[in-house]
Amino acid sequence: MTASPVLSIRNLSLEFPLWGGALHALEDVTIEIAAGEIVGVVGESGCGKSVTAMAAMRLLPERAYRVTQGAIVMLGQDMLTAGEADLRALRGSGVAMIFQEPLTALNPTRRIGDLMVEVIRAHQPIGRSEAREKAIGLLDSMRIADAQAVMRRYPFELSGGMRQRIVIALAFANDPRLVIADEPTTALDVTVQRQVLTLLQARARDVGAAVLLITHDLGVVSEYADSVYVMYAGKVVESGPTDAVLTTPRHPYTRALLQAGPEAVAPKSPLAAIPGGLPDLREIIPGCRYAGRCGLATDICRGAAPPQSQAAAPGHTLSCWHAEGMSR
Amino acid sequence: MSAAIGLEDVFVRFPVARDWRGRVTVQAHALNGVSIAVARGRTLGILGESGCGKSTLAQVLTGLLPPSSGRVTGDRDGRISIVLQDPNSSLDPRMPVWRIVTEPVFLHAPTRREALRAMAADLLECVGLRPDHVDRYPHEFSGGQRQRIAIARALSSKPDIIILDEPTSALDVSVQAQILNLLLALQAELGLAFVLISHNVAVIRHFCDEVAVMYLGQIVEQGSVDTVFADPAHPYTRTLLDAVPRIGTGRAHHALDETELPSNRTLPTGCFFQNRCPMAAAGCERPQILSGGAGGHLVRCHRA
Repeated sequence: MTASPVLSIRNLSLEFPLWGGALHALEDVTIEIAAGEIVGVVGESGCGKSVTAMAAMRLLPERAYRVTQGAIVMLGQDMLTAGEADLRALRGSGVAMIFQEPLTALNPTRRIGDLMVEVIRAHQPIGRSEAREKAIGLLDSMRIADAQAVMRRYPFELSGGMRQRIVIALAFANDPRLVIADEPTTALDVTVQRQVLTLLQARARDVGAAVLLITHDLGVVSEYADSVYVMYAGKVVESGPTDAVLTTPRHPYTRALLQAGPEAVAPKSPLAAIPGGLPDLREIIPGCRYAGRCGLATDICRGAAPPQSQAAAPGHTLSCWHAEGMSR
Repeated sequence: MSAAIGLEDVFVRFPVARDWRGRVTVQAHALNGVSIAVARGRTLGILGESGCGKSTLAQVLTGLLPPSSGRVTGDRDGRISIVLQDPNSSLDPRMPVWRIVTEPVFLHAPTRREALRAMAADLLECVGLRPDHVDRYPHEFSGGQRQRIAIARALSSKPDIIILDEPTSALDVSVQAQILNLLLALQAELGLAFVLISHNVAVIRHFCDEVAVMYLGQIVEQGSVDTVFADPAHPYTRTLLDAVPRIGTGRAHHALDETELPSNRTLPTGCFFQNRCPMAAAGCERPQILSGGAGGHLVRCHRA
C-alpha cells in the first residue's frame, strides 16, 4: 500500500522477568499497519494480543518487562527509545486507544463534557468554548442524539453502548492516524456491537485513520478487518488478507479455531474442541508452540521452531513445518 | 411429556426508589408475564441481550427469588441446580475442590468427610478431571477446568434440571467446545433437563431443542430451534440474528439503526419493541400477545 506504515512491529520478542526465569510473552512478532487500513489481531486469551498493543503504546509498566529483540516504530517514532515527553505527545493525538470496558476508561467523577474538553485542549491550543463546540460535533458524529444533554451527564448515567461511543468519540478527538481498539465490543450486546463497530469503521474511513482491532471473535474480524494476524501463545502463526486467511486457512491452529465454533457442525453433534491447553510460557519451548495440541505434529515440530513467515500466497504467510502439506 | 419445571405468567418487579414514607415510587419491571415449560431430557434456550430479564428468570427458576406474581410449577425440592457464568467468582478460592463439589450434598445431609471425598473423586472423573485432584484449590485450574468443577458441583445433588446461566461466555471458543460437548454427553447419559441462558445465538442454536427469545422481560418469540432460527418471525429476533458477525461474508456495510434499549422503569405502552422496529405500523400501539402458529411457534407481533 503506502510507503511508510503507521505502525511497524518487527521481530519483537518480549518477556516478563520472574523469580528465577521469565515468561516469554511474545516471540518474533511482526505486525505492520499501513495508513487507513483496518488490521485485526485475533487469538484466544493468553495469546499475547493485548501485550502486543500495550507494548506498541509503551503502556506496560517499565520495569516489569524486557524487550529481547526487535523494534517498534509508530508514526516514525522509535517506541522502544522514546522519552516520556515524546510518548505524551503521541498518545491521544497521533495514536489513540480504546479499551474493552468503557466504564473503567471514563473518569466516573467527571461529566462527559468536561472530560472531552480536557482531552481536546490537552493536544490543541484552543479555548474552552471552541473545544465544547468540537466535542458536540464529535458526539454528533457518533450518532449520539441530544449531544448537549449528554455533555452534562456522568458516565454511570449512560448505557454501555453509549459509553463506548463516547470513548470512540474521544479517541478521534485529536485526529489520530492510528486507533488501537482492544476488544472494543466484548462487553456489549451484538446489536450494540454492530452499531459501535460500524461507527468506528465509518469514522476511521472518513478521517483516513488506521485501526488495529484486537478481538477474539473471528466473525468481527471477518466483517471489519482488511487483513488479519492470528496469534497463538505469543507468536503470529498466520497472517494475510482477511478473506484469504478465514476462507482458506493454512495453519492448523487457524483451522482448528474456525472448526471449534458451534456453526461448524450439525446441532447437538460433538464440537471439534482443541484438546489440551496453552503451553507454559515460563519454559523455553524449543519447537512449535502449538505442537502439543496439533493433530499434525511430528518430531520436527517438537524439536525446532518452524520458520516465521512462509509465504502461502501473495501477502498470506504462515509459520508451520507442514505448510506444504496444508495447501488443500 | 411431563414438565420438569415451568413458569406460569410470572412477573418480577424490583423496588428502585421509595418516598419518605417508604412507599415504592419507581419499580424496575424485570419480568413481565413469562410462561415456559421444560420437559425432562430436553433443553430450553433463553436468548436475549443484557437487561432482557434472563438472569432474573434463572433466579426465579432456582427459587432464589420469589415471583411478584405468577407461579413456578414442577418439582423444586433439591432437584434443581445452577452453573453460573464466571467460574472465577462462583468457586470459593479458600475451599479445596472436594468441598466445593460436595457442598450441595453436605448442606442437605451432613455426611462423613471420607464419603464426601470419594463422591467428589467420582464427580471429577465424570466431568473429565483427574480424581486425584480433589485436594487442589480453584486457582490451580484453568478457566475451562474451573467450569468443569462448577458442573461437577451442579451434578452432586443429583438434579433433574440444571440452569446454565451463560456457562461458556467467559471462555475461549476452543474451551467452549469442550464444555458444550461435556454438557451434551451428560444430558444423554443422565436424562437431565437444561435451561440454557445465553446471548450467544450460535450456542443456543447448537445446544437447544427449543428457544424463547426475550426482550424487556417478555418472551417475543418461542418455538423449536429449527423453526425459530430458520424462519424468525418477530422483528426483534430478525434484528438479533442479523447482527451476529459472520465469517467469510466479506466486509460489512451496515446501515445504522436505533439500538437503545428502552428503560424497564416505565414500560412502553403497546408493543415493547415498536420504537426500534423496522416494521412498526398502525396497531403496534396496542399491547401484543404471544400467539401461536403451526407447531408451537409463538410470536408476539401482529404483523408477523
